[in-house]
Amino acid sequence: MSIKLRYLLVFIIPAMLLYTVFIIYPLFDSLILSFFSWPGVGSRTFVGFKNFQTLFTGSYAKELFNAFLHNVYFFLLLILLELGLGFLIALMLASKIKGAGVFRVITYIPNMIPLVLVGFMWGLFLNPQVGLVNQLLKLVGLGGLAQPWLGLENTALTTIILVNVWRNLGFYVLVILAAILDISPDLIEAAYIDGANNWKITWRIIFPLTFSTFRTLAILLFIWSFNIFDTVYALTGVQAGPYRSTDVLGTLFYRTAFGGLGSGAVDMGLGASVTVFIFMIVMPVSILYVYLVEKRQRSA
Amino acid sequence: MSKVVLKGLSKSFGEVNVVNNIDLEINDREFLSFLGPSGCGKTTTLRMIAGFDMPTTGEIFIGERLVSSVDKKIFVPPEERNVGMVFQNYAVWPHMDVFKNVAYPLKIKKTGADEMKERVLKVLSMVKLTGMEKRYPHQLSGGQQQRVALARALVMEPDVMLLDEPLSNLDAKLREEMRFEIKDIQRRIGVTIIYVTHDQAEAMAMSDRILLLHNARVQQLGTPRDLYERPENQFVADFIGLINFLKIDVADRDARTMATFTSSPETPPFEVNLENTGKSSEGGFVFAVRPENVKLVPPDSSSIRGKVTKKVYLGNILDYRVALGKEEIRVEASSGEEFQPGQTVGLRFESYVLFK
Repeated sequence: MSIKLRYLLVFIIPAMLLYTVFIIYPLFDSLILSFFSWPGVGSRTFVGFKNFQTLFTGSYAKELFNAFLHNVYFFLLLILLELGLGFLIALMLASKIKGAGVFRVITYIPNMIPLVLVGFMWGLFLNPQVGLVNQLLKLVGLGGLAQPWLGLENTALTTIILVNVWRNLGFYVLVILAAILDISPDLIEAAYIDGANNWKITWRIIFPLTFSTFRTLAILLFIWSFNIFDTVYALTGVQAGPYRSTDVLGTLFYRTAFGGLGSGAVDMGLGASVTVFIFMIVMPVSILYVYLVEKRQRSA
Repeated sequence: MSKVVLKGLSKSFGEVNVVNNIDLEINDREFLSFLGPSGCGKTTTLRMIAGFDMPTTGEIFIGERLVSSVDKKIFVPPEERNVGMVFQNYAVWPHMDVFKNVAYPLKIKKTGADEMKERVLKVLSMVKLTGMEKRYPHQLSGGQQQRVALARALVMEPDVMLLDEPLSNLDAKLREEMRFEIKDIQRRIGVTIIYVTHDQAEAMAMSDRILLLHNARVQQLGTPRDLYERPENQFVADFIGLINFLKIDVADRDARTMATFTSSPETPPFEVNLENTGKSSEGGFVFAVRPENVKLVPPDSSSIRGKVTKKVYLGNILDYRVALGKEEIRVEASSGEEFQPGQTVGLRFESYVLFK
């Protein structure tokens, strides 16, 4: 028996070591750091809850709240588009239209492009003068709609979200499609025989039976929305667009911790406190996710 | 009313022909089975009647209504055909309780709450599931789920009900029980039933008529008795019950038709009657006789002799194997003299069928 344990440890310890060094340690270090003030080099000064005060009630409060609201907006729009559109497209693909297989692949392709590259690509597409988007609009006679999408307060954030949807939709379509195809065709045929039409079958049979998948995806979307950074950074930089209109907690953190043009003093401790804030939002939802997965595994 | 008529119905998937030219008239209130081995086309035919598969050729009438015609380009979708269907895997919706499952067809038709409740409870009592309304499918046994499926099909009060091997997933005892229940309900309500099964005992027990299919073609259409006593070809004879096949050669001799076994022509010839076959009395035939129609007698009482090779006591019958020349046939005896392995016996054929 002790031999088995030794082998077990041999396999576990390297992984645990990596995990501890790269995940556990930085996590706790950040937590501790949030109670200090530290310009990145030199010594740390203990400041207690001062960082959090600055964030929530002090000079950063307005920016924090602004960024937070943007994350919420991200989440709501993503739910609507990724899950809503995802469901519609998955339904179409499930109904065995000709070319469904090809379309499935096409929908997924953007998902394979690294996020930063997506940001870069779309940065070019959205260029007001030479970008593809405005060129296309002019081509179909909608030139009046052509505008600097990323340069206007009203459109910047929504544009970034749409780019995100473009990139990730394929994934959600595939997951939802798998859930729909999981439903035994008998269940759907029985509904037809009982007189139900496509609309009724979609909402009374397919949706209830795929609901748990939507729930899981919604949780993942929540976690994603509050961790968002790459696309915003790639498209509008760390200054986060005109008047901080695309600022999210991720970019706020980056600015606060590492600085950027015109962002005031660099303070890693303050940055750390932003990450603590993000962590506090995301953690309960992550726990909920794990709980739901466990519950399903236990009853499976 | 609730007749079902199939005219020239065929289905092919590309090159593969799975249903070949079926013409059939199912009478009102009839219990008709589609019987056959796996892959014979019975389920596909049923699905075409339901509207889940589109025929390649032919027409389907339900009642007076033409619901499908390839030539006239008519196709009524399943939700508008007003047939009830019971699936092999029950197809009860897991996210609804028993009441909601059974009430679903009524809900679609926007039936009033009171009427809905009345009809659902009535049909649940018919299938003996009273009191189970609030249970969910995962809390029910297989047999109970099947009865929910049955109730759901009945609650619509359809003219025609289609059952696709509904009892295959149940254990033997439950299967027999459900056979009686289904037949009983059908008689009481007077609904036309089309029943798909590969189990010939089931088809024989329940059907008014049986349509026996093999390789996409109709082998025989008739009552259970027709199929058993007067099979029209070798496949039917073989599929239903037990039977012995012996090759014989037939020739006329002195105004009598005599047959000898092809594999052992040295054995004495015996007389056969070719009247019902409508064939000339020359040439090779297949002599088909059921084990219970072969009588074993003392060797002196018959010109046909054989030797008992095996004997099995099964309680109600004795199962013999008897060697006839180079062939071996199976004989079932429920009464009369007993013989032992090694003994020479005489054989008398009480009833037989001849095939070319």
